[in-house]
Amino acid sequence: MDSPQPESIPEVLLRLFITGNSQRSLRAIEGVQGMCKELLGNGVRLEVVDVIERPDEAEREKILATPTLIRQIPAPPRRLVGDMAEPERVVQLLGLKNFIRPRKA
Amino acid sequence: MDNSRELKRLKTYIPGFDLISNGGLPAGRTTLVSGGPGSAKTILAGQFLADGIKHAGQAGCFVTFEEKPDDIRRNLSSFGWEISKWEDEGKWIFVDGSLHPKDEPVMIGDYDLGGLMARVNHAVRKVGAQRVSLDSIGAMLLQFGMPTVIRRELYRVAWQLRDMGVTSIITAEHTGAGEAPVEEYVTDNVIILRNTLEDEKRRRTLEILKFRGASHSKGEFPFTIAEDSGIILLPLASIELRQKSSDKRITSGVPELDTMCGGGFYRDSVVLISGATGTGKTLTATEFLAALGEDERGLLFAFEESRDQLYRNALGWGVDFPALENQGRLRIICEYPEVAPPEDHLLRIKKHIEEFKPTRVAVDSLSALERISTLRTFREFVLALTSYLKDKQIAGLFTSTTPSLLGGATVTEAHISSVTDSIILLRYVEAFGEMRRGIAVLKMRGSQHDRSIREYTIDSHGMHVGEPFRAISGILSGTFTHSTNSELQTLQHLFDRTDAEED
Repeated sequence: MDSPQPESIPEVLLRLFITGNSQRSLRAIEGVQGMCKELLGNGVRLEVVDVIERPDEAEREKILATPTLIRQIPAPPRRLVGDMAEPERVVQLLGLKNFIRPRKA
Repeated sequence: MDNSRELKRLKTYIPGFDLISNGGLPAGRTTLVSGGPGSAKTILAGQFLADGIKHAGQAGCFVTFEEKPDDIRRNLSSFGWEISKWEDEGKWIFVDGSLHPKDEPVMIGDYDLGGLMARVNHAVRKVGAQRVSLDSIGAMLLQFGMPTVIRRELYRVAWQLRDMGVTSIITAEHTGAGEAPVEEYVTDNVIILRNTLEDEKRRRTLEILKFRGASHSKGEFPFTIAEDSGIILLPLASIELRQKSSDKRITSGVPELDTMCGGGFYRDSVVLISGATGTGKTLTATEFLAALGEDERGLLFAFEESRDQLYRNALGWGVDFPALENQGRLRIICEYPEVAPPEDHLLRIKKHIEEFKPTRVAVDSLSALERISTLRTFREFVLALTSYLKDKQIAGLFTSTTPSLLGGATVTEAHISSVTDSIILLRYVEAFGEMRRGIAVLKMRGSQHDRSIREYTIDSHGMHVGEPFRAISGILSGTFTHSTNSELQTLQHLFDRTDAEED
């Protein structure tokens, strides 16, 4: 489910940890994907990690709750937990205001 | 008794727990362990896994929300649990749910504990864990806020653990004030740990509040935390009276006293010697230990006198304690009762008994231990010790000091007389302006005994029991009346007549 990504290190790397295809997970994926597409530019890469398929990744990142969204790059990392229902707030909480793409006319 | 509706149990191997829980924790289920700060929740959570590894080779998974795994490894290693080694051997695995403050997440909307469960599931599979401990819910609540969500999730966690087929413990904070923690409604099985101050004495207890669909002992059970092995429950109220009683008699060390008891003490009986200070209780204990037969060994727990004092006293009665010790037939443990609570004394006593394997044990005196206990703790102590001695078929002799010089009963006796098999009273008797001493066998379970109160004397060879006091009554109460000869004859006459009528 990983998004297509450029080979180079992205300006922003987001990792979204979800559990299987629960309603909450699907809602979060939809919300964050929408947010990336609508609000943020091409420099943003999003990885979706299903903790059921990748428990080792969940272990490494010490994920307890899902959905968890981590802003891996730029450092230092920031974490959000919840179903990411409000994209504008998510962008704000992740400190990605500078990456908001100017709206097309 | 076969009851198919009874849940299967997982033996915990936590000392005493399997007895009071009728076989262990409900297998494949989650049990909530609720307790206040300092109530040993984390120790219990760790011991559940450690004892499983040590005694049953069952691997365990420890999920920590509060302390870092490093802290837990270090803190619990003092109990001799080699967690790092077990981790290397794939018997113990940590899931670290503790969060560094800088990683603290911002909450935005609804969530579940999917990450945690995936990690626990992964860890359980990795080592084939049969036991899981989660410590503690309170720390998790602190991380996330939103108690309602946590409770909903807790319910799901319990279900998922059940699906994994593991038996688990979840610890939770219990403030003890006001409302019962909601967590208690979430699981079918709840254990409460308490650490209370009662009469200025610390008391730790464990109570099984509920095991749904499974029987268990009710009420609080005291426990202690042994430095080298962790929690040890003292299952007092549920001690099974499965001891076979023995017909075999042993000597008390005083031939006349043996006669009074109908042929000596029973080999597996516990005798209480009650008397005021100076009546010869320590002497009775000394005679009892000096009368060791061949292949016998004696153990003395002295709570009132120092070793030197004991040696000197014994020598004054013609008993050479040091020689007996050198022969390996006697061990004397001198301790101040104040150094430890009764639970710990009990453990030490048991430890010495297990090491030394005595056939006779004397405790001088119980009253010293009573000083440091609440009534309830004291009674439990005596009950536990008595049952233990009987179970091991050891002859026990306890002394108890009466507070008043003349007559009277002690609180000690009131509380433990039903527990002991025999009671022997040592009393001062005032007779015609002189203080003399009287001995009486008040109770001798399962045997006839002399009902008279006999005079005894003490000299450099020990105790000598003589004739019954004939002309004095009221010795036991301490208010003496002296009967004249004519009265005695009248009494005698009275009984003779009754006998005659019966014939």
